[in-house]
Amino acid sequence: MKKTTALKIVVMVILALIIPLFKDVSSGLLSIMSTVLIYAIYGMGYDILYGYTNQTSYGHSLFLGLGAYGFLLSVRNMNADFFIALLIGVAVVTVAAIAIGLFAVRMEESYFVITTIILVWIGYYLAMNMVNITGGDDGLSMTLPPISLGFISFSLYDPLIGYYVFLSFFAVVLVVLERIVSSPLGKVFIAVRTNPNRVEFLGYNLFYCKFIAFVISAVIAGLAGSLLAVRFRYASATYFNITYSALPIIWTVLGGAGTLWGALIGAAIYLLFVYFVSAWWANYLILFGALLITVMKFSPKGILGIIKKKISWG
Amino acid sequence: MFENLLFPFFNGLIWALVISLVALGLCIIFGVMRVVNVAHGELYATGAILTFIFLQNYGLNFWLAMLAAVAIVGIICALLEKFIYRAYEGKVSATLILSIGLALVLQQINLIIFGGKVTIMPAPLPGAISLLGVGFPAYRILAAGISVAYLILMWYFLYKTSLGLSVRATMQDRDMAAGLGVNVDRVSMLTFGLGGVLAAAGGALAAPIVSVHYLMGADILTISFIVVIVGELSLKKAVMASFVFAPLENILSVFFVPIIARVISFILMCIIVAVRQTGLIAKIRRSE
Repeated sequence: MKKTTALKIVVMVILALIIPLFKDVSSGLLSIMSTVLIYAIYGMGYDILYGYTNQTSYGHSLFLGLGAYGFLLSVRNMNADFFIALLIGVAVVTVAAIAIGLFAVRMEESYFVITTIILVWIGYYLAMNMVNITGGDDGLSMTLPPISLGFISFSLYDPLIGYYVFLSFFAVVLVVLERIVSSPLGKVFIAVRTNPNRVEFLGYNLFYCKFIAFVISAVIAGLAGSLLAVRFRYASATYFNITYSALPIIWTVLGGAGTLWGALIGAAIYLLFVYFVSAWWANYLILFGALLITVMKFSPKGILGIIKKKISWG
Repeated sequence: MFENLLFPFFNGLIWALVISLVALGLCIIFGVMRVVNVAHGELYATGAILTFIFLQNYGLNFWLAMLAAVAIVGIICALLEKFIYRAYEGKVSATLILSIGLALVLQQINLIIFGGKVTIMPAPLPGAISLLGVGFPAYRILAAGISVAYLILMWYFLYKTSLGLSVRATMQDRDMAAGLGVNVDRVSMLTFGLGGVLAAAGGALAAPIVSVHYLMGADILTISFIVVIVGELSLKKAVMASFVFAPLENILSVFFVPIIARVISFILMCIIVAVRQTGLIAKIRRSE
């Protein structure tokens, strides 16, 4: 068995079995790890876009916010079931991603970045302004529907059940994305990152490949948004804020772009740091800014890149 | 009705001048180094904040305070180019990530030195001037004059001096310019410093008009980006685009809530970019 595979299994075992053991020691850890898993889903989706096809979107919080509100509003207004609400949230994001991708992905790299910035601001302004629908800055809360699988139903109010729900979503997304990445389409994604011109010479439709990657990552971001609404039983217009667009960039770059797992590492470092440090130092973002620059300058492959190098050497 | 539109129109023209300063800075930085400088809004805020601090804490007058702030930001930018961006110039996504990191750092530094308060800066020139029967704050007209002076200086520098010629040559083809003996590294450093100067000058001029806040750069950054891409990354077109955008938004805000006015003008500008960038017009022409 390859060492990296063994490492992945160890991480999954820790996530599934070890961390819940600490729930009596510190209830904070379980809730942080729930958020870490959701953020990791968001980050992995972003990694498909940035790490695999080298398209830098600075507007993914648009999809995060739409996913969160898609879930929340369908629960609040239509009393929807958990999975129906999730489906609605993801469907809304898919439509938005296709509509935006059709014109944004065609653009040259720099135009693409700037267009995503503009779109996320439009989303933020609208969400802040339509207070009667979105609740604006204060946001809206909801009562969570139970998850019913036909024969049994769970209440999401138990933090341990919540944790396992998020963990299973994380595992499903991870498996699906790893399948995509190792499929022929995934190989073309990597080719798009390495040399887009050659992809076109070889007869692939460059726009189509980039578009698929864009939609996949947006849909995953929407799923993460819905789960975030579940996690906090709440959504507010701040989910649309551009800060939430910068976060997945920080996580993927910090953890290692183009690895999928990097997002988990980045998100875990970020959240644990915020949890323990923000209490006594409010300007912790300065450190993440500096970290981003340092990682880009000295180890563009991120933390996982360093680990992989060590493993292949030893 | 007409008088009601006149004030927002003049106001829009003055905003257009401030925006075109900031956008011009973005545009030359992008043109020379291919850096989508997200930290530009933070530089704008730094310009305003430093001006305010020099004015209030050190008792300088507004003009000296502005000059000092602009010079400091310019020097910081030149150093940032040398030590942070240089190795990655030409790579849009890498420099974007660097500039996001830089934006976070600068934003928090602004927060540390200025605090989270929203402060109104006293106008250095009180009073009002009557323009076509509309009373208009005198400082805004002065700010417009200074912006025009900056723009003329920029134009003179870029189009009439040999250094400006090398900047434009580097914008068109970096390798070719280097091959013809232009010191591309020095041009990049100068350009980034100049971009910072323009952003800080915009911030300092806008400070008495809008309130000073450590996040004040966010709005202007997005607007400048719009102007820059509507102007298709060309300097003159960017200035022209800001003269379309700002009066449009100001006039729309007579009829709508200000945020909705901004959203409408953003969407209009997005449509223009989408149509031109995806070659829709060319396709329609071909099918005719």
